[in-house]
Amino acid sequence: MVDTSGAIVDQGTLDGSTISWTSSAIAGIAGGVVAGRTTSYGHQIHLPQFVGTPPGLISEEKLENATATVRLGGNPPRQNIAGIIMRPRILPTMPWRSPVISSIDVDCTGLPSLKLTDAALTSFGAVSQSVGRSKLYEQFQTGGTPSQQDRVLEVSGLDSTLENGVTIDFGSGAGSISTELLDRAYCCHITLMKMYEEHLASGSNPLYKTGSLNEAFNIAGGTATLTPDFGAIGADSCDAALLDASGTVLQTVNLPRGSSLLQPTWTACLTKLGLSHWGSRVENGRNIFTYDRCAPMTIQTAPGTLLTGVYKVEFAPIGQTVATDGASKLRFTATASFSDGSADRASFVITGLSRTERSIACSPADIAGGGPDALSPDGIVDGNDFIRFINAFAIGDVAVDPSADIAGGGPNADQPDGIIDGSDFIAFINAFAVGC
Amino acid sequence: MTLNLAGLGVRPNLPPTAALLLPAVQSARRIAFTLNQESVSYASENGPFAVLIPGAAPIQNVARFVVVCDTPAGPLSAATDCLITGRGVNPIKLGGCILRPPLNFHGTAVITKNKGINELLPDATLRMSNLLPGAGNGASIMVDSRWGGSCTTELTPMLAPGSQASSITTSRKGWDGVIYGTHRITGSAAGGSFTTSCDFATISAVGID
Repeated sequence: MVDTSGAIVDQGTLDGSTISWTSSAIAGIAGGVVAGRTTSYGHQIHLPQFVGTPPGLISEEKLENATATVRLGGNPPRQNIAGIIMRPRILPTMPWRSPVISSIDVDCTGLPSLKLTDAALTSFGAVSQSVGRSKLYEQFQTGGTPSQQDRVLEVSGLDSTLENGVTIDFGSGAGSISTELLDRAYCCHITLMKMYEEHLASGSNPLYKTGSLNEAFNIAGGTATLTPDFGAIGADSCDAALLDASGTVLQTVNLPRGSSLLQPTWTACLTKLGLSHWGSRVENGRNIFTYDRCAPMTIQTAPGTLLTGVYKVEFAPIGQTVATDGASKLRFTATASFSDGSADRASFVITGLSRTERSIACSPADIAGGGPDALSPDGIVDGNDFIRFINAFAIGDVAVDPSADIAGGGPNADQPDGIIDGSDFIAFINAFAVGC
Repeated sequence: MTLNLAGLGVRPNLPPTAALLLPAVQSARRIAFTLNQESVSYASENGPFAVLIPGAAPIQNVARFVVVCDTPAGPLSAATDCLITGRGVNPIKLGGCILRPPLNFHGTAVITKNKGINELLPDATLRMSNLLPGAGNGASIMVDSRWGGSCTTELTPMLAPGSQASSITTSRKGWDGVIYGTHRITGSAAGGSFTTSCDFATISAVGID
């Protein structure tokens, strides 16, 4: 059972293949009548693919905009429940293969009418919905060995407007999210690809847009531009860090709002067409967009000055006035040109998504108590953290257990340095004394 | 018609009645056909195959190709029949064939199963009304996904007093016809509450986490 934030408030295992529960005291309902609003019930089936998520046939049901008191079997009722996540257990001896879900069938009895909304695909483990007139299909990627990983999510129906595309909901609480796109798919030329991002506002529920990043292509001229915009969170400029293949910053370029990075010699990748990665992460409350391609880029850092060998660009806002707290949604829309009149048939495909959990550590000493194995931060500094640190410190080998390596590195010596020594011990004791 | 061999950079134009030969298709045990608004795509689930185009050299190692109708007046979605023939293979087994009506919400195809009024509202809501009092009303949301999908059902009618005889059943149907879980919610006499039953017996579940 999960609450409105998605946090698990109760869990367990029931024998058998069927369970039932009763939901009552639904917020907003008085005397059996919904007070001035529509309450809906969401169904989702998905096979999680994100790193760290166990595989399995997950079924999730949740109330939208409401909570209920739920009594599961003969268990005591739990209040303020927003959803229930189920995973059927199959005997290890049973042959099991991951199914392709053909359809979600909804049937009703005894109702004069029924509304269905929010149809979505959960490709790669995230919830994807089309934007505008576009349509979403899972297809098979050209080449390679056919397998689950060879499936791609095709976003078709692009036209010359920027109104069609896809929204990908990664869920709240992500530390970083990224999308792998093939932006040269099948026919025509995409002339502009735009990523919008939404975050959960810190301490509140409403989503808001934090910024956008677009890439515009001049196919005939062989050039492209990257234009970030963090104006929605108050930034009037941003720093573009240009990284080499090892992740080392080669140069940082400040871009006033509205200006672009020019790629004067942009060419399509021959083997992967236009494979690119678009991502976002939050670092110390600061929003960072990331972009890289299948081949090194040449960037014009100043008029007449080119920097070659750029493998990745990271855009960080300057003067951000609104703190961000975990990524949530990415929206990609695109325009296309059609030299052969084949309007509406342009598409791009998503070949992969990734997501990392945002750290909830409240202190350098918060190193245990959370996660399924209690070896992750839990937002509390207590005995769990002390025991874990002492054990890891006694081992003294980051290759075995790096959790005691909390200091000695970085410009302020407050980052891990790959060595477990006295600096870590002092840093831990001080942080433990302060607590969260 | 235009044949677009994805990723190979080949886009030959074909006469309207062109036939394609897939001589190595036997290496692909299963091919998925998808009919979109203006195109038909073919994808192999088991390996690449070869395509022979009349008057052209064979194209090897094709995993997916798209046939597009060039004439705006004749979209493939308006086709009334589809002919599939085989040579040197007997029998051809077809599975998962679905005729998709042009009803999409949030970019997903939907097949309604009722004879009432089906409306696709601007906010991507499918409203089915004038439903018959008994069972057999509903819709299939086509997913065709390795990962699955989701949808939301309006719950309000189930919370009305006297809704104990009403129910909404959601089933997840696999490509192989297996139902990978069924969920049924029923209303109550007093209203304001509902009971949910979920059943994974069809996949021989021994427990539910």
